[in-house]
Amino acid sequence: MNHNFMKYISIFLALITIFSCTVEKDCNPSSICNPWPYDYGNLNLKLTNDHNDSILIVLYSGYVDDQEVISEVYTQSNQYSFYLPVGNRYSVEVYYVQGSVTTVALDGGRLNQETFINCEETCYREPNLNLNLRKL
Amino acid sequence: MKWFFLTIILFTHFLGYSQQNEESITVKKFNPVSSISVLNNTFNLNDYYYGFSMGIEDLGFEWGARFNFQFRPFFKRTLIQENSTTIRQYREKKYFISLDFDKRFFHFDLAGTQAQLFVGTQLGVLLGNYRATRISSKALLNVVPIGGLSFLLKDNTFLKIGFCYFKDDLIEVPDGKIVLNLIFTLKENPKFQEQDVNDSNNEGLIFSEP
Repeated sequence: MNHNFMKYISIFLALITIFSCTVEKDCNPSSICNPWPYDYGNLNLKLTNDHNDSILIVLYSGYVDDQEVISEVYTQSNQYSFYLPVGNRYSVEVYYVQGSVTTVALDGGRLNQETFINCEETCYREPNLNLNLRKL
Repeated sequence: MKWFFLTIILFTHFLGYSQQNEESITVKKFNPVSSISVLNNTFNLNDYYYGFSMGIEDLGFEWGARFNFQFRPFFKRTLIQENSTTIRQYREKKYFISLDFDKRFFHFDLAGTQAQLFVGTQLGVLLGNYRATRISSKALLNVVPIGGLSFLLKDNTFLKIGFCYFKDDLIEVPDGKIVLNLIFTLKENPKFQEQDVNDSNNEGLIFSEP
């Protein structure tokens, strides 16, 4: 097989290998470690609301298709947070009304518990799911 | 699109044509080799697709055919017109599966590199899925015209830079996109065989080395 081609492939695979994973093996005894898992976390929304309009936010459990509405709120801010049980999937719809046209922004994800190992101890970070629902 | 080609043609009109001298009168013949691309990029200022393809490259008649898979490697905020009063804004990933064909022609030298024009098409289907919902984006049958410059790098590696009309039904993404594709040909002996066209036993010249 073409020698140069093999060289390019080798470089490509080496770059993938280098950037594919990082392992936290540090031990910092002075760092704060929370050894207990969280039950609740924050679902943080970024919104577009330059004129402080009243914007409808609909929060769903699971996928939006499941139509399990947890909450419907109006906000005049450009950010909003929900405090929700960890480990579940959530979906959010935001309704931007401009004249006769409504833009429905949708995004979602799972609110996961994040952990890291410090000095061979499992530490828990406060769960956060950040969704960018700004209007394009 | 036409201005793009017109610019290229005018630009190359004043350059030397590598196959128009007396020594390089050639007879071509079918000479397919395997080809692979791991750097097939299609992009504009609003969107990006990465992909890879495999197929054949005919070094004799200078055309290629490849099976191509491209995807947007991130969830992008996209706008889709649902009806006259509702626009949906999704987080979307896209996949494009296609058969690519292209033809190279019109040899010339550009900054010491052998270059050609190429035109082609991608025939495929554009698929996609969204975050936070189980519905998928509407499958879009796509015929993507492509044209541009093909540079012959050493060892039969082709760098193709061009422009395509890649329709994706997204409001905020223009359909015109740039193509940047590096294609390697898999051949044991990259040297082309050169034969005299006046030799009666000769089947023909495949390609003339620069």
